[in-house]
Amino acid sequence: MREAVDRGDLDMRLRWLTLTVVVSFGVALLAGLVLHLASPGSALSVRFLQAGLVLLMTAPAVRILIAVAERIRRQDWPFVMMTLVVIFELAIVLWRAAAKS
Amino acid sequence: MSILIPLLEVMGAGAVAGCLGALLGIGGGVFLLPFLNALGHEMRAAAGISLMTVLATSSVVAAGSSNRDVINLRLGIMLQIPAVAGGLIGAESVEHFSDKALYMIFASVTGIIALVMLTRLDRRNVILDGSIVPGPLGGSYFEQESGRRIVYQLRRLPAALGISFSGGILSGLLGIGGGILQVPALNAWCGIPMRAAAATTAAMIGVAALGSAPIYFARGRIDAPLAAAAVVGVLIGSRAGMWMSPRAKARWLKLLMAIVLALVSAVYIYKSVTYA
Repeated sequence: MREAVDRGDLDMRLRWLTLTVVVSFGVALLAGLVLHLASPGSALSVRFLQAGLVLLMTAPAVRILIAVAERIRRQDWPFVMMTLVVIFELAIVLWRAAAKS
Repeated sequence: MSILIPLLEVMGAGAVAGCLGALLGIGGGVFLLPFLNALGHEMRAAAGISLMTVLATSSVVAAGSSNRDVINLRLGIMLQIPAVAGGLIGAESVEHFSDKALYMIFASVTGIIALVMLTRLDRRNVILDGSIVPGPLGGSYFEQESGRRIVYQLRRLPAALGISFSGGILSGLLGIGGGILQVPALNAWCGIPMRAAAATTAAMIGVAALGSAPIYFARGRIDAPLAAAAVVGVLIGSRAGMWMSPRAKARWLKLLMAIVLALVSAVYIYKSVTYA
């Protein structure tokens, strides 16, 4: 039962962080849309929309980082190894993306 | 006014796709893509928009705490290793594919899903043995309806990894989440109960989308206002779908969707063959 209590401990405590990211991409995208409608293509609307999309892409990464932090605490090394492989892959994706922009 | 209409169209398409996706538990991308195509957005632009909606739905599902117990994080993260790699390969190679080829790939995917749905119309779940040991990648959760703990084991790991890799490639090429392949495959071949397969996939599919989304974004392939409109639409639609799903007859719904997907498949075969 200890396991069940322990499970999700850190990700429950850090739930505000995931929720904040979700709420912020929602707000940024909505605000960007409204600004875009008010004045299409304005610098401010573009900034909000771009920020919203970037936050959207940040959300899963934040979840992975929280998950790995929790599993390090619980010394679940196989999980930590698998997550590190995924993080390494995501770093390659970012590097490839940076080369294109 | 002229800028409002395309945004509303895309938002509406997102809402319908999100609703259908949530009803069937497979994600809305497979429905969003043909809608966006019909509205005049070409394949890669539609894929970019669709990827953003996949990210949004996955984050919202994962942030909700209702099914935390059902999500098998360990299995989920393991499947992301091939999925992210596939996504990157798909996104890197999509510019080398012709529209004709992408149409044909989409036609094959929708065709296969239609067939899978038809063959699984009456399949409820895998048979579960209470004395089973979950093992490193299995898991357990409490089922409200039966009032007992469901314990399961992962079988055929290579199949699960292979499906995730293919799902990743499709996600990179077409922007549809790989969940549409992963959920039925995990359930049918790998012994994962439907609920755990769906919840795990829904929560983790956003990570798989990260294999390709940044590449589309960096290429400037994502029309930000349209993507925002689609995200809003999909989130509203999937809410509605989740509300409707306990009230809909699963069998008829699957049959209807199989027919719709078979039609979509036929349309894309036609589009591909007649593409000049």
